[in-house]
Amino acid sequence: MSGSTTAPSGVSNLRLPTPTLDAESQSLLQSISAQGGYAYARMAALAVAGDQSAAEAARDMAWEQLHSGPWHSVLPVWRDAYSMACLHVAKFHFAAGEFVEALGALDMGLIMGGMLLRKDLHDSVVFVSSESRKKSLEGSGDSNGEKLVPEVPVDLNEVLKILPCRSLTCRRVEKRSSLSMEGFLRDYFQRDTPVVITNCMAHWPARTKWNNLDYLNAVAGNRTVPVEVGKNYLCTDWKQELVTFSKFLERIRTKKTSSAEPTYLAQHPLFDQINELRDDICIPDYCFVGGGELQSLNAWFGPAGTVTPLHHDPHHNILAQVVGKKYVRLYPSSLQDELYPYSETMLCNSSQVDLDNIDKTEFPKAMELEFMDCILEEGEMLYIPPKWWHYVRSLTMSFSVSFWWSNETDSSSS
Amino acid sequence: MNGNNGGQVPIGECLVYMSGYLPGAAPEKSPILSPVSVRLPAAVHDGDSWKDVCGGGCGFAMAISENGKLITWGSSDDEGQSYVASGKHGGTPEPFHLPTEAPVVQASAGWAHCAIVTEGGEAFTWGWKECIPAKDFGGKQQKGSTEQVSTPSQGSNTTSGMTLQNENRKGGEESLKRRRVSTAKDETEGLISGEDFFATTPSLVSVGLGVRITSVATGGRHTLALSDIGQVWGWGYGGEGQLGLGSRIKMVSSPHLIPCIESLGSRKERSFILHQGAATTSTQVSRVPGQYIKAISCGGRHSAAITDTGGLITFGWGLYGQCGHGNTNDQLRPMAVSSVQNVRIESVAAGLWHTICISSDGKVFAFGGNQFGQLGTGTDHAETIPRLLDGQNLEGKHAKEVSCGARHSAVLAEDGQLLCWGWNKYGQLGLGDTIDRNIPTQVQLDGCRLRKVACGWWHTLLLADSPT
Repeated sequence: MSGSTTAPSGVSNLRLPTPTLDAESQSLLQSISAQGGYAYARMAALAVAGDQSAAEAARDMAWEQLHSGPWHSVLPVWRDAYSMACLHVAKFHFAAGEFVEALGALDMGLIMGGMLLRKDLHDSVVFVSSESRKKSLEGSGDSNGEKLVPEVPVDLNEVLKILPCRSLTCRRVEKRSSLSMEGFLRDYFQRDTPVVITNCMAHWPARTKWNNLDYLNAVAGNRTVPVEVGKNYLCTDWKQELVTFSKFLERIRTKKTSSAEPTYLAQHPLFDQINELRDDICIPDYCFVGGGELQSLNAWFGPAGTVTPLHHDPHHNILAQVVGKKYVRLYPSSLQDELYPYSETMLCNSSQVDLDNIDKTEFPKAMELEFMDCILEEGEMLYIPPKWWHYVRSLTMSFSVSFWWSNETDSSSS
Repeated sequence: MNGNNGGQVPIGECLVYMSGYLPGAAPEKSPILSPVSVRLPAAVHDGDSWKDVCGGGCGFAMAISENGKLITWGSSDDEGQSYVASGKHGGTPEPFHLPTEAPVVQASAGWAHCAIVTEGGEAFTWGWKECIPAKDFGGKQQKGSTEQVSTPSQGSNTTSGMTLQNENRKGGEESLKRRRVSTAKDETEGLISGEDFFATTPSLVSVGLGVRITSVATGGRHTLALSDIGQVWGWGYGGEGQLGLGSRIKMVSSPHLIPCIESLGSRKERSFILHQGAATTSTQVSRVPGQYIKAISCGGRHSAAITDTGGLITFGWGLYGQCGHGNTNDQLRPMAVSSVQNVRIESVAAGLWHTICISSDGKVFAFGGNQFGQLGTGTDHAETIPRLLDGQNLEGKHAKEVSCGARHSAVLAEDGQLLCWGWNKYGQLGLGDTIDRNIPTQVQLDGCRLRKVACGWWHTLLLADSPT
């Protein structure tokens, strides 16, 4: 690529280096053509030649292809095509000094694009961010170190009014301080038993940094993230949106959205997207028990009152509470019919029982079931064994990280 | 993506207008926000004029001249070579060379492939190879077993327009592998030419001896053909049931007969119907809405057909509700849309994620995905059953013709007024701006009477009487 971007004079001739894109473009375009994407290849060529609107049209075309059929059936080459178009678009914005727009384009590539150009996208984010910080250094500096979540103890009586009935009346999940690996393996992992582990995250940089609004804004403010809006994913009005991290922070702090419709950054692999935040967390040693592989690492960040309805997942799960408090209720994996799972394939790991408002006539068996629950405090980790049903409700603004890992035996198949 | 057999337009001097965008065409050509006249090329103009508009695919447009020539225009590459689907002449409308002298009566384009029907009832198709029947299989069989059969895929994974990162990552690795392979191939064989991926020469589609094709419909990756006795054939990609063969067969490389009528009831029920004639009641049998198919249409990955009695049948991808059966399941067999069983449907058109149909009394119904307002309901909510559009812009209007682009919709009313809605980023609605519309919005075109509308992928073509 000749990189002859047409930056107007006056603006520095900023150019994003994209070595992988430069090396791979030709063969990638050929693969895309092989999938009928002749018009895309034509637009990409025009983009390289300096046509910004062609870059945007190519991105629209690739986006359309990503959504042109069921997600699993989308040809992988279109994910790389999408990343390629995002890089082209970002180059034009960067050359014009439009750093926020450039970051937005790069993030879309990271969120929806393929693997081939991922390094270019990450490196470009670093490149754009550092340019952007150079520009904005003059203006800032009045950091007031505002805390996201004040350290106020939760009033148990108030909390019980919000929680599902019978909360905190049954068995509590056992709490163990600095549990050893052997102890975890023997007493919980092998026995298919949940446990809360305390005093195990003090060394995480996130413990001090993520409660600081200025830090989060500085590190990720201009990054685009997918968020969920609505009571929970089982509701009809639930939807996903893409917003900048600073806008998201603003929303959950000012509670502008009505409490019925919280905004929740949920189940998003944030740390694959924003490397600076990944540096703030440590993968717990417990996740290597069993010899399996780490499957995914997700961020869960939202205001008080977010609910993840009762469901189960196929993997071992450690939920690490970095900021704020959450209520978690667990039902053993042996229960099935009693919790009335949905029949559709897509939702068959979710219970039809709404714990916040149990329909006694429709789900009579769910009423008197034994469960375990706990309030997960800042700095604590909860181990949820595979297939255990869990319901989660945030009691304050909350930022947690979940680690999923598989058993040695089933890691090869996944 | 409108699959109706184009109504005959009375002979006379007609004009073609275009709005929207042909990606890959010369940069100065796009996008066009208000309809502009497309000139018939000098080469064919002598004694010839426009006869019909046929939409087009992603990056190219198609129309038919009075003499039955197929006229195409669209994107071309650096060498001035051309986008194989649009012909060798790039942005200028020119006759597309066909291996037959017979006049073209109807044409349809998918994302990157084309199909036409000649006066003699022959169908030809070309473009993206995946959509073109394999040459070896041309001929007699209707039930060949040569196609690759895939394992049924598990249910869909998307809950909305967004992504699942895990799959995403896996997908990426896969593509990396594939690409390494293709790079190695490049070194030994040199550059792969477009001809490897595109069938540039139209090939004759044979569905059986003596079968005359009367119309063709093209989707994202599949094609349907309708015969003169009202049977429907399909080929191409069928992973979501869009070929109606009862399976998730990934690739059907020869035309297969689609059981549009048979599957609606057992033979017994059918003969019952035959005896009962049109006097159907609300028993189970009344669900059989006819005896033959009179119109077809393809969306991105779904299909629609209309029976002789005005029954609407759909099949294929259902994630957005585009099959109209009240759910988001893929419909693997042709199935009557029960909520409009008491409405006589006249025509139907489909986009990437949505479907629009109009009834014999001129009402408009919409269902499926609505991310860009392409349903015209005034919201962005998807609809899983046909919803009557009753907004004021359609009040008192008798809709006559419908056409859908990838993410936009157009309806022509009996009084010659054109209403468009949906995605408008590239001016495809012809409203003079690039603002999406979620309600039917009237397109102003002074001085001429509109006869036909045909949406292409990201563009819209209009056929009009010349102003007098």
